[in-house]
Amino acid sequence: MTKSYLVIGAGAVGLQIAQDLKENGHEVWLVEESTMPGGKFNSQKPLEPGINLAYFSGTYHPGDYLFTSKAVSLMASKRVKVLYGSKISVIKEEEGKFYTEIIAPKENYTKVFDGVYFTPGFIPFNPEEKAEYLYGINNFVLTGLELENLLKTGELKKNPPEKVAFIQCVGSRNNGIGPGKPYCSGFCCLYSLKEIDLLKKVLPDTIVKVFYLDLRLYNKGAEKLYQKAVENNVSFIRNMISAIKEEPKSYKPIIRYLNNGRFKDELFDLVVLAQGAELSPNIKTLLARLNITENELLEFYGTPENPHQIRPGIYFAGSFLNPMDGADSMVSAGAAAFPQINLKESVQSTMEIKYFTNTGIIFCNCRGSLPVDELKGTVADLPSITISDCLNEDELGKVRSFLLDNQIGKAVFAGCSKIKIMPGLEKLAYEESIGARFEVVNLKEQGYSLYGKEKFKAIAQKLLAGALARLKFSTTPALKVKNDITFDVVIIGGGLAGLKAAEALTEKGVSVTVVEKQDSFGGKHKNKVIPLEGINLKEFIEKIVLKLENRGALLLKNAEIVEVSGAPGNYQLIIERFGKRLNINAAAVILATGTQNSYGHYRKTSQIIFQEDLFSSADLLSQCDSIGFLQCAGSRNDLNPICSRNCCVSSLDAAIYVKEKFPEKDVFIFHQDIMAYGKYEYKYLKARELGIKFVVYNRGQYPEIKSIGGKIQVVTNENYLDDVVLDLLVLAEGAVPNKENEKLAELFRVGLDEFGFLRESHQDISGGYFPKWGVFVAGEAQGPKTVREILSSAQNTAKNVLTYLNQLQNSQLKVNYSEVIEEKCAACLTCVRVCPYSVPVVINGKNVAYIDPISCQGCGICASECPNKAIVQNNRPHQGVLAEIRVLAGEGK
Amino acid sequence: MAYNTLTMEIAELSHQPVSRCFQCQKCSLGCPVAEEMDYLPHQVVDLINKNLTEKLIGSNASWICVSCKTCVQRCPNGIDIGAIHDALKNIHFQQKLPVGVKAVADFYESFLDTVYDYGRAYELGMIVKHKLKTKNFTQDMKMGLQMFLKGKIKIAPHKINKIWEVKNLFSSVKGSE
Amino acid sequence: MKTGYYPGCSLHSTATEYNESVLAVVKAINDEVKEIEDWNCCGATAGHSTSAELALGLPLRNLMLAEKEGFEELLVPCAACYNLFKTAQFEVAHGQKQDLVADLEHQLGLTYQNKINVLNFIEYVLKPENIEKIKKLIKRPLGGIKVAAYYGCLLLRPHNVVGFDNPERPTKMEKLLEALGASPVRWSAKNECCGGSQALSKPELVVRLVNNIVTNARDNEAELIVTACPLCQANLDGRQINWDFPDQNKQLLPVLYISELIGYALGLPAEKWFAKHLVPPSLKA
Repeated sequence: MTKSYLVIGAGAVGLQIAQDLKENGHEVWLVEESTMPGGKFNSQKPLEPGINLAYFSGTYHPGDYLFTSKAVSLMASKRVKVLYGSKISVIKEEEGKFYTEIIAPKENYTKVFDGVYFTPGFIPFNPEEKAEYLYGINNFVLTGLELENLLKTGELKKNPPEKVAFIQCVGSRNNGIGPGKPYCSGFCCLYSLKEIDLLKKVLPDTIVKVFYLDLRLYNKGAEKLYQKAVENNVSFIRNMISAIKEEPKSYKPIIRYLNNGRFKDELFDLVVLAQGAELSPNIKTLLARLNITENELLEFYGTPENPHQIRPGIYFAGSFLNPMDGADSMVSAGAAAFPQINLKESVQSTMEIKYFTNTGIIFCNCRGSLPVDELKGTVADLPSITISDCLNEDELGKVRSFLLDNQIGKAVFAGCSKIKIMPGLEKLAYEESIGARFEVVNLKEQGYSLYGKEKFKAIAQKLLAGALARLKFSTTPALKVKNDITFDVVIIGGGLAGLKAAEALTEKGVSVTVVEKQDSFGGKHKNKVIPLEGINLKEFIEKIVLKLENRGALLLKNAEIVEVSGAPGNYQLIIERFGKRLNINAAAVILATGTQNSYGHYRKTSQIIFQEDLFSSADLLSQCDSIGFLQCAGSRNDLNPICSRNCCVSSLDAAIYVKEKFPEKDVFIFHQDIMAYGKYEYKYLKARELGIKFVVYNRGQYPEIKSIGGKIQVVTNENYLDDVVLDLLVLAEGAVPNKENEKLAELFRVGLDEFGFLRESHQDISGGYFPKWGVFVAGEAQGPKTVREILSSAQNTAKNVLTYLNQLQNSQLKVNYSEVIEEKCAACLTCVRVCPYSVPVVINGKNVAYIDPISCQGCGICASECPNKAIVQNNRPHQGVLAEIRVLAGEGK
Repeated sequence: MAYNTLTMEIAELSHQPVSRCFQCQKCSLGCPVAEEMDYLPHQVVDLINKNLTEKLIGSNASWICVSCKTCVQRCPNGIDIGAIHDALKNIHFQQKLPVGVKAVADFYESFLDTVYDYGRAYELGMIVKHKLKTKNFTQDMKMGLQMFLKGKIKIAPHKINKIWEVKNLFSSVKGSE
Repeated sequence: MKTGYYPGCSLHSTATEYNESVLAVVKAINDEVKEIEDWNCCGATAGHSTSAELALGLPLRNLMLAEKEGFEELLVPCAACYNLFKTAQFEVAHGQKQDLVADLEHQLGLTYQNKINVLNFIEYVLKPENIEKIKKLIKRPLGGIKVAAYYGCLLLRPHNVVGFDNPERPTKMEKLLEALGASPVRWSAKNECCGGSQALSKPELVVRLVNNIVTNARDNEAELIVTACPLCQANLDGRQINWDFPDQNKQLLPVLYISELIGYALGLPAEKWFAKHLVPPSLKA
C-alpha cells in the first residue's frame, strides 16, 4: 500500500531514505532548509562549511561523491518532491497522520503525511560558547572544518604553522555547569585524525599535539590513521585542556598540560577545536510542536531492535538520532527506512523502448562556474542544451524534454564526473523508456580544475570531440532485459546478523535459507545470558530461530557452501552437509559470517577468563568479591591491530549488571580509551555513577598481572594508587576477520579489505553492498560491530535486498554490457578466468562463451583481454576507443 | 567490600558527584595553585573514588586550595574539588586529624576566633593571634607597618549586638573543644 | 528604601577606601542604600573551610536580617561576601541543610523567603538608570587610559550560582570602563586567582600569583588595574612590591577599586582614597 512520507533534511541520510521510500512506490516529500542537498558532505554550501574529503573504511572519499549521485537520481525521478530553501511552519499530529504547512521559495504547501522521518543531522557546536578556548576572539583558534577549508585552498602553505594543537571533545561529553551536550559526538576523533593526516601531507615538518580524553577510533580504518600519525611524530596527550591563554602582543595561544607529572605551558601557532554536534533551534521548534522535548530527544536511544521510532509514525535516523560518523549514519538510514519497504508485485512495463538515433550534447555550467557557453557549436553541429544545476528538478526536466523532443539516442554530458551524474541520467532515461546511451565528459575536474581558465576551451573541445568520436562507434542498442527470478534468498551465516536479516526478510514475504557451519545458530552470541545492550542474547536467538521455523524458513546447520555459479536473480549454490551435496537457488545471497575471537597473548586460567566465558555463565560472579575487566586484551596489538568496537560496550554492560545486582562487590575496568561513543557515553556515565572504578593504563603497555595468594593483582601505573587485587579478571577478546573470508571471497568473487574483512563497495559507505550485484554483506563480516549495530546492519542489508529484488522484477534497461561475437569466439576461457564477477560461462553444446547482460558490470576487462577481440564492451568498442585516443592525441577527428 | 567511612563522609559532606570523574585532568590544569600541592585535584578525586581517602589525611592539598572555583566551572562532570577540600578540612577539624599546612589552619582559627568573639573579623586581633600561633613574628612586618601607617588596620573591634546568634552557629566547632 | 547595604568586615578595616568610594558614588547619583543592622562576618574562606554550619549559617543570618528589614535588593561590594551570599541562596533554594535554616529562622523570628536580590557593585552600577546618570555626571573623562579589568574568581564562578557575567570572558567591567572613557586592554589573567585568603598563611603563593597577573597586565600595556574585590586589591596592591628589596626596577601598576575610578571620573575628591594605596595611583586626584 503506498503511503506518503515527509523527510526532513536532505543530507546523505535524508536522500537515501527518500530514495528507498520512493523506489518502493511511496510518495516522498523531501524538505531541506538550505539551498543545496548533501548536508555535511557538501563543501559547496555558501554559509555552512562541509567536508571536502571524508575518510571511511581506510580510504578517502570526496565529500560530494557521497551524496551527489543520490541527489541527482532523486531529482531526475518525477515521483519525489524535493523542496530546497524551505521551512515547515506547521506540523500537527492528528489521529496518526501528520498535517503540515510548508513554506517554499516559490509557493506554500499544505499536506498530510502518513509518517515523518527526521534526518536533519546536526549543526556544529558553537565553540564561542566555550569561551575559555577563545574561539572568535583569538585568530589562531580554529574549528576542524575551518582547517579543512584552509587545507583545501592551500592557505596554510603560505604561512605554515610550526606547532599545531588539537583539542578534542569541545561541546561534547558534558554534564557540568558549562555549555555542551552530554553525549560523545562520535565523529570528532576520527575527524581530527583525518585532518592531521591531511595536514601532515602538506606540512610534514609541523609539530602536532593532540589533547584528548578517550581516542575514539572505533570506526573501520580509523586505527590506521593513528598509526600513521604516530609514525609522523604526532604526540597524543591524555589531558582535557582547561583554558587557552594568549601571549601578550603576539596573541599566540598558550596551552597548559601535564607532561609526566609536570606542568608545561607551551606556545602554539594554531589550535584546532574538535567541535561536536549540536541541535538546530529550528528542529527544536518542530519537535516541540510534536510534543517532543529536547531532553526526550537527548535521552532517546530506542532499543537495539527498534532504535528509530520514537512514536508510531515518527522516525529518527542518522546523526540526529545518535551522533555518529557518515558510514554509520548510512546504515541507520537503511534500517530506518526498512519498515516501509515491501516486496512488490512485478510491474510489467508496457512502454516500448524508444530507440532514438540522434546524437546530442548536454552542457552543464555547474551553477555558472564552468564557462561552457563558449563551447556551444564549436565541436560539432549537433543539438545541445545547457543546464545550470544537476540538483534541480526543473533543470533535469529540461534534459528530459531535450531527449524526447530531439529524439536523442546518444548523448554526451559535458559537466562533472560520471560517478556523480550517470545514475541520475540513467534513471531519467529509464523512467521515460528511452534507450539512450550517455557518455560523460568531466570538464570540471579533468578540465577547469586542472588547466585553469585560459586553457579550458581548448582542452574541453578535445575531450568533447574524443567522446563524440567514441560514441560514433557505439551502435549496440539498449537491451530491455528481465530476469526470471526466484524470491529466495540464501544467508550464509546463522549468527545474530544472519538471523536478524532472515527475520526481516521473511517478515516481508521473502523465502529464506540460512546456511550455518556450526551445529547451532547464534554464532558467538548464542550462549550469552548476561544481558548485552539490554538483550538476553541466548533467549533472543532462540526466539528468532523459532520464529523463522514457524515462518517456513529453511535453517541448515552443519552446512557449508562449496560452489557458486549463476547470475543475479538466479544464483546456483551448492551446499555440503553431512557429506551430501544440496543445490539451492537464490536470487540474492547475504554473507553474514561474522568475526572470530582474538585472545591476544593471554591464556585462560581459573581466575582469568574472557568476556565470552563471563557472559555465558552468571554463576561465576556470585563467588567473587572483586572483579576486573581488562580492555583491549585482544585488540590494538601486534596480533590484531584494530579496535574491536564492541568490547567496551560489553564490559560496561557486564560491569553495570554486576554492580546493580551486587552493589557491595568491587568492580574495576582497566582501559586505554573507553569506546563509549555517541549515546553509549550515557552507559559510561551510569557505570561511573554506580561506583565502578576506572583505571587508565598507558597506550600499548598492558598492565602487569601477578598471581598472588589465590588472587590476581593488577599493577597500576599511577604511583599514588595501590595495585588492584581481584578475584576475577575478565579479558576483552578482540574481533578478527573470519578465517573463512578468503574462501568466501573466492567463491563469490568479492574482495577483502586490507584488514581481512569482506570489502564493501567503495561508494557505499554503509557497508551493505558489494560491487557484485546480488551479493550482500551484513553484520561483522564487514567489520566489528556492537549488538545494536549488528541488528541495524542486518536491517539495512534486508532493505537493500528487498530493493534489489524489486528492481530485478522489473525489466532493466541495460546499456553498458559486454557481448561475445560468437563467430570469433574460440572458447579459450580467458574471459572466464579474468572476469572479477565470474560472469562469462561457456555454453555446453555451443562451445562459445556467453555473457549475461544483467550480471555484467561493464568493466571491460574481458574485452581487452580476449586474444581475438571477440568481445565487445558496448560503451568502449575497440574502434571507438582508438578514435577517441587519436582525437585526444591531436590527430584530428 | 563497602567504601570506608572516610570516603562516604567526604562524598556526603561535600555534596559532590565524585564518582562521575573520568580523570580528564581539566581541574588540575586550571588550578592556580596545583604546583604546590602534593596531590593534584584530579588525584584527590581519584583517591576518593578508589577508596584510598586515608592518604589525604595530612596532605597539604586541601590547605593550599584557594576556593577559586575554577575546577567546578570547567569540570565536565560538575565536580567541585574545592568543596571536597572544604569537606576534608571540616573533617580534619572535627576529628582533630593532623593538618597538612599548620599555618593555614592557624589562620582559620585565628580569624574565626575573632568572629566568635565579636561577630565580625577583627584584623588586628587576628594578626596577633596568628603570629602567636605560628610563632612567625617578622613575616610581612614591613608591609604590615605600611598598612598600619595608612590607617588600613582598625585598632578597636566592633562587637555586634546579638552576638549569641553568631555564637550558636559555632556549636559544632566549639562543642568539640 | 529598597536597597540594603552589606559592607562586610574588610570594607570597615583594610578596604575603607572601597567602602567610602562606593557610598560616594551612590550618593553622587542621588541614590540611597542603608547598611543592615547588626550584620555579622560572612565567614569568608575560614568559615566554609572549618564547618558546613558556618559556611551557610554566617552568610544566611545576614540575608535573613536583610529580608527582615524589608529590603528587595542587597548591595554587596566585596566579591567574597557576594559569592558566599549567592551560594547560600543557591543552597537554600536547593533544599540543603534545612535544619540549619529552620534553626536560624526560629532564632531570628521569621520565615525566610530567599527572594532578596543580591548585587555586586558592578551590577549595581550597570543598572540602566544608574549607568545613564553616571554617564551624564562625568567630569573627568579618563582620556583613553589603558586599564586592565581584573575580575578575579568569586564574582564569576561558579556560573550557575553567581550568574553575573560570562565566567570565561567577562565584559561587564570593560563596558563600564568604556563608558567612563577608559581603554580596557585585552589580557589573559583577567579571571585568574590572586591567591585570596592565603595572604597571611602562605604569602609566597600570593606573590607568585600576583606576579603572573600584574606581569600579564603590564605586558599588555595596561597602565593600571581595576578590581571589585578587597582581598584582590590588597594582594595586588601589597605584593607587587618586594618589601625586603623595595627598590627593584619594575614598573608598578596601581590597583584601583572600580568605585574609586568611577568616583574619580565623576569629579569626586579621590585623593583620600588614593592615599590608602601602597602603590600610589598616578591619576591626578
